[in-house]
Parts: sequence; C-alpha cells; structure tokens
Amino acid sequence: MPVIQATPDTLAVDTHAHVYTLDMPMSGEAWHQPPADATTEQYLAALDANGVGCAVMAAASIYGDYNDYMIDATRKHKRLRTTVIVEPTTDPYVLRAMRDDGVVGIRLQWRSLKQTPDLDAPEYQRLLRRVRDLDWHVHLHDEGARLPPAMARLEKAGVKLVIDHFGRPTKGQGTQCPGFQAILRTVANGRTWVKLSAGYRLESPRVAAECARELLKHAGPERLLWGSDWPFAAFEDKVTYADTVTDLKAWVPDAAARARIGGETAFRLYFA
Amino acid sequence: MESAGESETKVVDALVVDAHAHVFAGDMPVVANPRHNPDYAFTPEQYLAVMDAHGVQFAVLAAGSPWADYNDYMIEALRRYPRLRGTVIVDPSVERYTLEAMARDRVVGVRLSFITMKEMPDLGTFAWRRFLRRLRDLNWHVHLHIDGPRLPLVLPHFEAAGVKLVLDHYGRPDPAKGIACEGFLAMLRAIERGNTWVKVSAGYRLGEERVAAYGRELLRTVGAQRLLWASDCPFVGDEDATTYRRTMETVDAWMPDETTRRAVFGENALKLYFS
Repeated sequence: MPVIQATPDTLAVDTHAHVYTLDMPMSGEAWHQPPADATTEQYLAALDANGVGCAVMAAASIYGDYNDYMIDATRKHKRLRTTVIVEPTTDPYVLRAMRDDGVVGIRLQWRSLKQTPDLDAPEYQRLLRRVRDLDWHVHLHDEGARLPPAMARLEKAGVKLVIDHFGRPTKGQGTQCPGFQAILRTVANGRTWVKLSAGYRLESPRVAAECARELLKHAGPERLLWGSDWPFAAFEDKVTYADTVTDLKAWVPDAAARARIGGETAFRLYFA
Repeated sequence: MESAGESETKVVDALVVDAHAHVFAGDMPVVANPRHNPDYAFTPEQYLAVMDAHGVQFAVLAAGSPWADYNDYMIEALRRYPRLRGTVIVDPSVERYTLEAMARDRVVGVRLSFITMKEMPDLGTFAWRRFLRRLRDLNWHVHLHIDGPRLPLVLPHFEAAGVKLVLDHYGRPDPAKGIACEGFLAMLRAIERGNTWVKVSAGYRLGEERVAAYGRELLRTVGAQRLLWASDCPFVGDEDATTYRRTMETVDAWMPDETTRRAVFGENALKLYFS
C-alpha cells in the first residue's frame, strides 16, 4: 500500500462512504431510498477529483448483510477497505475470508433500530472476541444517548472501537450529551477513535464545531478520523465532497493536526 | 437401466450435452419422507460410461431432493471430472464464500425443488432476495422443479431478481390442460424475455406423446434457443420405464432439422452451463 500523504489542501484517507446500486436487495428496515446509484467507480472518481488516495467504506443498513458489492470493490481496488454488517453467528472462516478481501471491521448500524441487540449475549460476546482476534474494529453508529452502555460493553470486550459522526450528540445537549461525554472519557483507553464526519447531520454547524474542539482537546489527532460520508444519504443535493473537506479545515485549523487526522491516524487504523 | 456399450449407432451425431442426470451412493443420508429413496448406487463412473456409450460429451448433474443439501457426493464428482457441471441444494442463508467455493468446484446453479413442497417459501423476503441476487452475481442459474400450475406464483420473483431460470421437464404443465395450461403459457412468455430455459426431458414420466406436443409447441412459439435436452438418468423411481437411448429418440422425433437438433442436444447447454 503506497502511503499517500495528506497535504495542507488535501486529505489522504476518507474513512466513511457508501457505495451501492439501486438494484441491490434492500432489507425490510430500510430508512432511506437512495435517489441514484453510488457506484464504486463514481466514488473512486470523487476521491481522485479531490486528491484523496485511500478510503474505507461503511456498510449501509438499508442493504442488510448484502456486503457483496463492497467486497467486490475491496477485492478489486487495494486503496479501499470496508466494514460489513454480519450476523453474530457468522462462521469464523467466513470472517477470515472477508479479512483477506479487505474487510477491516463490523458495523453496528444501530441508529435506526428501536431495539438494539444485547452485546452480553453469548453469540455477541463470541463475535466480539472474533473481531478482536482478527484485529478488526467495531464501527458503531447510534444516537448519543444510547452510546454509553454500548461503549462500556465494547470496552470490556477489548475491541477497537470507531464512533461515527461525532457520536451524534442529542439535540439540545451538544457537548454535554452523555454519549459525547462518554466518548471523551473512553478515548483515553487508546482503542477508541471518533469520526469528524457528517457535521451536516448534527443540529447546527456550531454544535459540530464545538464537538470538534472538545475532541481535539481530549482525544487529539491520533484518535480522530475524517470521513466524507459520500454520497451524503438524504442530503444528496445539499452537500458536496469539497464541502466535507472544507468542514474539516474549519474544525481543525491547524494544518499539521489535520494532516494527521486525514492521513497517518487513519492509515494506522485501517491500512496497517 | 441399460448397460453401457449397448448402442451401436448414435441417435445424434454432434456435440451432445445431457442437462440433467443424478449420481448417488446407496448409503447417503436421506431426508424424512423422501420423494424417492433409491436402494442402489449410481456412481459418476457408471454415469460417465453411459455418456460415452451414447456419444454424450458433457453433462450437468442435478441435486436430488432425497438428499437435500448433502451435495457432497456430487461435488466430489464435479471436482474429479471436468466434463461435468452441477446444481446444488442450499439454504438461502448460505454465505457468498461458500457459493464461491462451490463455483470453483464447477457448481453452476441452485436447484429449488418446489414440487415436493405443499407451501412454497416467500421469495419476497430479504433472505430470498439476497440469495437470488448472489446467484445472479455468480452468473449461476436457478434450476426450478415445480408443477406447472404453480409456476406463475413464483416466476415474477425470479424475473425481478434478474437471475437465469431453468425449468425442469417441459415446465410440467397440468396434463389435463397441456399447452393451454397457464403455467406453460407463463413459461413461454418468460422464455421470450430471454432469461428462462426449459429442459425437454422426463418424457417417460409425463407421457411421450404428450411431451412431443409440448416440444412442438415450444418450437413453434419460442424457437429452439432456450430448449435443453436432458436424460434424467438413471430415471429414479421409474428405472425400467425407459432407456437412455430412448430419452434421446423421443426428443429427436420432433426435431425438424439438423440446426435445431444441434441446438437442443448440445449447443444451447454448452453456452448456458459451460461458458
């Protein structure tokens, strides 16, 4: 893997994006109906146009555990990695085969779930152990208020943990949201990372900026990641790729810190 | 079952592919209440000898419902003999990686034996849509054995999934209605759309005069390009009802010309299963 350096104007690793085609099988729980294909080729073109070298794709809940399209992409393009959605009972040989194909973690896409799975259940404890054995990470997306108990269990399981989109602080609470506060405490364990991404999904740009400032202070660039969230599900017409690069500049004014966030930290976590 | 080496002259003097045959050991695990339960073995070696005796170059082994997803014996045969391809019975939750390993072992499709089911599964669930999509991704086909009248109930799901579909035994129309059976008509329309094939086989089960009428109607309406000759050897459950040679002759009887004969007996199957 050639290491592509972040420069003051570009980022090296986009740690959050989705690829899919509209004809893929959708699960019953689909919360969003995408308006158009977001193909691997289109995404690679977006990366190239913005000078981004490598990327990590995120499994999307709307396609359930049909991870096949993303795995096709990581097989074909060594600059890509992906997370997957799997059943807790997935055979360890299948997980290993996925790892060999460029899978780096499992996504717990819980934000749209009314009832979240019990991580203390034996099958989840076994899955989490397998994730740890594979040196994968758990990629958690949930509402801020629900993060603390899940984070506590994942911390106990000893897995690496990546939190999406600033931890999605609850509206009106900002940096005081218990989930956000739990993140600030947990990053000290050295196995937790937070994505500065999808700021437009937060209640306001001001809240995103405040969260970013707190995270820089408590977690530092070695625990922070940047992601575009391409193709900006449900915000397809409102956000551009360049906007997401600009956002990071606003959140992290220091070029050296930004280069670490957009480069070295992500390389070490996903590509090492 | 006639013994190998019995035929002196070839019925079809061209490339021949048998699109449907079974191999099994006599001691394989059988499901509860099997449709058939042969008490003998029909090994790949026995079958290959039958093929050779009848000038058949290639063949597709069909998973048999008595053994459900114990495809293992058949897959061993596929690994050993490059002249063979096979279809398997698997649960819709099967992992992509398992299917890919099977593909490397020359599996080319999945057999759905709905004919034995009182209640057919709901093909609209995510599990089934995901499964059918994976088959399409692999360029496999669905090998469907169903009674004709129920075909219209499931056909839209396969067509929506965009997966290739191969129907067994003339689509098994309702014998009372024959070519006017709704299932048969639905099959003709699906064949015209280009992603459905049908085996002209098992005449000994359906009635040889009847299937000649089905065959002629297929040629008249949709042409020869989606028709596949198959023996259904070793005629499980009705072993003495026909011979391998006779399964060829009953189809050969309604072939109007050499081009059609070559397509139905070999070329179509070679394209579908071996390329």
